[in-house]
Amino acid sequence: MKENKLMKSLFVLPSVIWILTFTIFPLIYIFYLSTHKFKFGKIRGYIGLSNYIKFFHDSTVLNAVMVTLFIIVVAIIAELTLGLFMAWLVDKPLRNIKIFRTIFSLPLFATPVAVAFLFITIYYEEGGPMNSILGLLGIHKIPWLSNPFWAKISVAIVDIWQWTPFCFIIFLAALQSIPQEMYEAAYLETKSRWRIFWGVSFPMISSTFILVIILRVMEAIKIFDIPAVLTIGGPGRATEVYSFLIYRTGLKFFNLGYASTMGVIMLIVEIPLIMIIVKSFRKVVS
Amino acid sequence: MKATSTEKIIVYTVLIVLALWALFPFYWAFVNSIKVPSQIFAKSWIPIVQFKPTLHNWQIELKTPLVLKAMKNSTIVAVVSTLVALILGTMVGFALSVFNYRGAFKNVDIYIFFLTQRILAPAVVLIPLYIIMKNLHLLDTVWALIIVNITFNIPMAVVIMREMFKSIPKEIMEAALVDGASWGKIFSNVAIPLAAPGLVATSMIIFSYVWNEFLFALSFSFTKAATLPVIVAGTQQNRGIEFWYVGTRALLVMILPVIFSLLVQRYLVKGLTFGAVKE
Repeated sequence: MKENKLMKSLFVLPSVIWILTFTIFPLIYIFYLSTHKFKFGKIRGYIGLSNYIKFFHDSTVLNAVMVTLFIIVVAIIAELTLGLFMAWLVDKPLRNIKIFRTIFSLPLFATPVAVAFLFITIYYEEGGPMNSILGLLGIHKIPWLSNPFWAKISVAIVDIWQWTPFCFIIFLAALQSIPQEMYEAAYLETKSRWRIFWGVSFPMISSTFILVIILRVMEAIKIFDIPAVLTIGGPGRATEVYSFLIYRTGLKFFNLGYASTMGVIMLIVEIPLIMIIVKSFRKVVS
Repeated sequence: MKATSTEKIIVYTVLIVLALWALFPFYWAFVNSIKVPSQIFAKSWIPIVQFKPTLHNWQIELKTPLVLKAMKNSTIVAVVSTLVALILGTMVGFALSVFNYRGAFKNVDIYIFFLTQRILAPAVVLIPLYIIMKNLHLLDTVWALIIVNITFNIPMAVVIMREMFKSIPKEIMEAALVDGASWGKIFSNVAIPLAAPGLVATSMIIFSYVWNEFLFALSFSFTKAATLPVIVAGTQQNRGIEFWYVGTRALLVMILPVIFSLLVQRYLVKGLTFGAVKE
């Protein structure tokens, strides 16, 4: 097709310039900020790498890293397992199965802040529905939001509620793309659904499985809304995830230089992840 | 492979349990929003049969100036950000699907550039953007929120619209080109109408993301530009936990994106996986 250079650049330049201005420039600027001292929100001189030295000796940083890792590992494992299980259940020629697909996707776009807000009441210790239901099963009241361990689990559960649909939708799409003949062939050999799943279905969707893990890790690292509302990082610092620590340090305690340092480190930690995604997408998307 | 009837019963039972899990928070919010305070701990679940529903909470909520202001802010931010991100991203999506970029930045490189922006954790750029907005005197205005939301949603539009345009047969555009149409004309008069359903779905997805956005809304708005999620988050400190009120407010915020998510089902897989999984 006839193309001209000017036309080609006119289509992409506005977006490229926009992203350069509001993402790439801040990314460069953050290195500058992280090596400067602030007072009343104004830059007050160069301090070299002292923020970085502080960073690696800061127990709140270590805590935030461990909290974030704990929550996202628990959440992602549960989301993958549950999402795959739900997709496998729905991928059947049963009547009214489409309704379940719709219901299972509902939490995906529910405003995380509103969900977290709602779960404060669901987790309510005295007479909240979570403890009431557990009570029926004979399980003693759980201090969902007031105990440091359970608070992390509570955050993870809300994350699981919100993000399992993400895994479910993608796994279902992958399962439905498997040709029916493969199942028929397998069925001649074994009648065990368990063995058919691991022998046929799972190998066929294994690349999707890896993709979902990558995408979930990418999103989960950003976790902020749920702990910021559900537990406000507490009790103590029990659910103070990394993004929340940046927010608190920079915009609550106005330690802008130090919060920038935390941002720089987060960026550096994300680079391998970005490279993995870029590498896998270079193959898929072309 | 035919399922036996016992198997069917097991499958449906498990499906129903899982459906209850997915639906419970919505139902909980709804039930509490139509209860008067004294009924909250009564463990009653069925309106009319077990308790007399009331619209009182909703009436109060929709008359609260703070909420009305936040609804207005949320709407302005979401509509403007969606429009701009959609226009900019759709142009890129179109260009990537019809042009061949050569030299240092090929099609795939341009695509990756936008993808990388999407991978990045927003908290990384929180502080520099805060200082930039402060220097531009945009803090606590809807403009600060509009700017960041456009930035973080351009990639979504690029990803979905590129897929949409790729599915349009090349011959249609070639025919228009032979007739002497410019690329600008082909984009606006040929490609856009053909991709309209995708465009509508993309706008709903972006709208929902912007509507739900919290980190920047919390950081860049204080009173004048506060959006609904900011108001909700602030409630906890101000009023403690009043169940009826939590239910009303939570539903009010999430109803729109939840409805949108039902309408865009067909496009979700493409959008969520950046086009890596095809349905």
